[in-house]
Amino acid sequence: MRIGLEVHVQLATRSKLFCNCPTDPAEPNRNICPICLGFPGIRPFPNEEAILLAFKIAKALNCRVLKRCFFSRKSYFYPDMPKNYQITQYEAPMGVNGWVDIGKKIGIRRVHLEEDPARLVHPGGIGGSDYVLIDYNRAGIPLVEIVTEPDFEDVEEVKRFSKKLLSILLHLRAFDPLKCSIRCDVNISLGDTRVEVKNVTGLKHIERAIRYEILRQEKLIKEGKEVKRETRHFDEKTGLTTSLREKEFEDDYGYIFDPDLPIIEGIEVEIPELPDRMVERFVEEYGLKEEKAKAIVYEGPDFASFFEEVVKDFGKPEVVASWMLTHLLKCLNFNHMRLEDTSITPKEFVEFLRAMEKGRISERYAKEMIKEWVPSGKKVEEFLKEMVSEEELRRAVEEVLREHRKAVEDYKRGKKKAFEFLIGQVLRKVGGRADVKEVRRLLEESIDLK
Amino acid sequence: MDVERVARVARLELSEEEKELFSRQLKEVLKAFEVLDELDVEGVEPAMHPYEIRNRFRKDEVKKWGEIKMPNKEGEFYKGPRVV
Amino acid sequence: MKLKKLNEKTNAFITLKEEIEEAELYFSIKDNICTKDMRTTAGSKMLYNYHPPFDATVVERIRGKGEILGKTSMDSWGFGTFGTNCDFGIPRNPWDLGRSPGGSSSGAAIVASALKERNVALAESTGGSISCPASFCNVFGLTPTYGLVSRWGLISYADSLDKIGLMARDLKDIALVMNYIAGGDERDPTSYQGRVPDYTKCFGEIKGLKVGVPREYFEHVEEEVKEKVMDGISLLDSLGAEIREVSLKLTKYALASYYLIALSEASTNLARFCGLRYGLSAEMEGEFNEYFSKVRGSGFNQESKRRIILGTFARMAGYRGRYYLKALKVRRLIINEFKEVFSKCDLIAAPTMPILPPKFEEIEELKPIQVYAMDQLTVGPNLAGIPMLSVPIGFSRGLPVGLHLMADHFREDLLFRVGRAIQEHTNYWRKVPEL
Repeated sequence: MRIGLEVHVQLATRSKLFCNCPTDPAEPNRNICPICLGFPGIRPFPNEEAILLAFKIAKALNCRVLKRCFFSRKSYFYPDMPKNYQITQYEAPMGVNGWVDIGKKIGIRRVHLEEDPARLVHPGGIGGSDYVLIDYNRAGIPLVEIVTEPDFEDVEEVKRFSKKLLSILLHLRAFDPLKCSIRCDVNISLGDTRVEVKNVTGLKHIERAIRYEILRQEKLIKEGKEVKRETRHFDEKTGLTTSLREKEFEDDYGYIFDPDLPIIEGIEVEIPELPDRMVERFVEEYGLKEEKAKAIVYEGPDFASFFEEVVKDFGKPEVVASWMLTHLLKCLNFNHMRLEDTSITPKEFVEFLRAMEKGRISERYAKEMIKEWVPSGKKVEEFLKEMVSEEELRRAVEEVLREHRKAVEDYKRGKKKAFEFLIGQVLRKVGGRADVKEVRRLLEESIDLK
Repeated sequence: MDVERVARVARLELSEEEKELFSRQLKEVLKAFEVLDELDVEGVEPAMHPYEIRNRFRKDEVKKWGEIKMPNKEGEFYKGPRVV
Repeated sequence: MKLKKLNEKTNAFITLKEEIEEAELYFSIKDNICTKDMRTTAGSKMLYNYHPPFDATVVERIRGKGEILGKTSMDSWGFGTFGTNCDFGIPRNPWDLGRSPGGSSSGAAIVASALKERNVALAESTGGSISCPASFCNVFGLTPTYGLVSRWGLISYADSLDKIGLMARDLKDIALVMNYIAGGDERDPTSYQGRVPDYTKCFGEIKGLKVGVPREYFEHVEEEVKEKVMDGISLLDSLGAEIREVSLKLTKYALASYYLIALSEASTNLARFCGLRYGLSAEMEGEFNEYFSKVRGSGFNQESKRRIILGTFARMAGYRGRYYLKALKVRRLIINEFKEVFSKCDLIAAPTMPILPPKFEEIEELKPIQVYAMDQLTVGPNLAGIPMLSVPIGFSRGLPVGLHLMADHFREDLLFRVGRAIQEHTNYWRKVPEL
């Protein structure tokens, strides 16, 4: 079995590829201008940042980066194509013959830059109405197309590749998961015939589409039927791929060089430390297990550098990793936030960890605190201030000693566990907002007095 | 040249007369253009522009255009012909 | 000013402004250049009601410098050499209303020559659309170097070939307006970024300038035209220019190379016109392919369809290498050949057109390939993107003849210098046709 992918990644630029329209999500047809609408007389003007990011992606995927590239016009007619041609790269892409290592090398045939078409909405589903609705916000958004060799042999490899690719894109800051999308054309052949499934959005659906398509082709082969060489469409709701109708009107792309645009030559780009290298380094420098290192690094460059900042100050990489991955990340995901969106700085996080180390806050409290800390924007100091006063604590201790006389007796008789129980009870009473050492001290004091 | 096929690719509705006329006329034109076959262009770089135009880029800044008038507005969308 | 009468007789305008204020200088604008306050049709029914949401850069730059009269007639999309492909009335030569004024910037040349008041016509050339009508109508026609004038707002024919230029009776007025419109534009990435001279100061001695006369440019040229052109060259000789014979061997390949490139590009530029976002539309029933084909079938005239078919074909899979790519390589050779000649000469001089302005009946008899062949003397320099100036150099049987001067990239200064010298020593340019 051979699987190949054509991945279309929307780039995280502020403006579109050939005009200054914003790329941020917006109500339909807000981010439009004569250029991305293809009005007569307009001239497209290439976005420098998009070009640099495309080169960085090519370099990061180990491609041979072309010294000279240019844009081409790819002609085809569709209601989502403002000019009825797409500005793309044909003969001279950004990079060729690269690879991505997922345990084995997946070949990258080419990386190039092109513009996204508009978005079509089909009222009543495809084939369900007399017309389509067009939203031009998407028209002109920069896309990088990454074409792999058909080197995948199963879905697991595709999944590993997708994760790896995503982490590379995050570290290049070429992709923003909050506003950019990834769409894929998947080519699958179990035998000799190649079937293409077009326009699958998101890595989750890519997996589903592949799984279904494999089953479908296997069934046909088992029944002795022919697998047709064709293009299919993936339906997100049903999880099935369906055949696209035979086209009566063909398109011949008729590529020409785009004479509205300059030749791109001699552009050098620097790429930051890539995930693979960073994971290696984390394992070496911090003694983390590869799995943990991967989990931190694959969250993105800001998450990874946050980790490093915290460890630089606090040390104890295992502890930091644990707290960041198990509790902090969980809260971030729950709140649909990125670390950068919170008020939590590495310094603050160190303060938090130190407070725990010193016993000023209990672990139980820390876990609760994070849940509030992430969305609230409060500082660690403020949380510490909410700790109970000495008076309150004394009162709580007295109450607990009164309520749990048996435990007190047990302790006096030498049962150490009873003491831990009493500490727990006091903490419960004050909602965890106490310094464990203080609780211990007051308990000992009070019990000795009795 | 199969004029009918090219007309379909170009989405141009032609009458039967036009198809026949163009077939004849364009055959003559292409015959005249065969003169290019005389030239050996081995190793010659195609000239996209009269002179090299290189590396003209714009900064990644947002500028809003303002209102644009287009026909067939339907709510927030623009209507287009169906695709199936 | 008898504009309405002029327009009735010659169809110079597609859109004539209602109220015209008196001014020292008047402008007319070829109708493929976008104007925010006037409809812009590119001479085609497809855009019969199109109102651009912006001004072309050149329009912005001349606003306030004179009074704009209106939008001038043209072969639709620039597809034509005789003005006969205009969807809004066929423009007529003011020197003989039964003859062509040339194309595709037909109306521009008519207004420049026939309007008595001082005026400059904004025009555009892809394969010779400024030089040809200038020559047929007895005015100066400047086609600047590719990229010197911004194309923002120019409705494209072929983006590697389109250039905005000027026509007027008086070369001094062209120089003045060039100062307004030439030079870089941050909206057009193909526009020239270098320093632009003061064109009004580009006059002076022409003694010692080397003028190359290519023998290939005198083949297939009518005797009467040749005679007047040679007179013009003799004039330059008498003024001290060094005349020398040169050879542009690749001339015979320029026509094919030009049309294959121009039409390949044009067929992509015209794909956007499909009845959706602007221009002609129809009842939106049926599937999109049917709808597009219907609108495009009815909005494009015969010549437009013919050229779209040819241009689409030339770049289709299986043909692209033989036609489109080959033409681009030949273009490289042609550019190199011009550069070679300019290393030995300052200018090239030749006839602008191989014929005198033809009668409309004569044009009707021509097959497309014969029409295209009329561009043979202008396609070469247009392919190379070099600047050129058609100069009124005489009359034959009462019909104007043009002398074509060409210079190396960005050497408009030489064209002004020599053109001015001819203007000073001849009176042809002063004549205004009686209508």
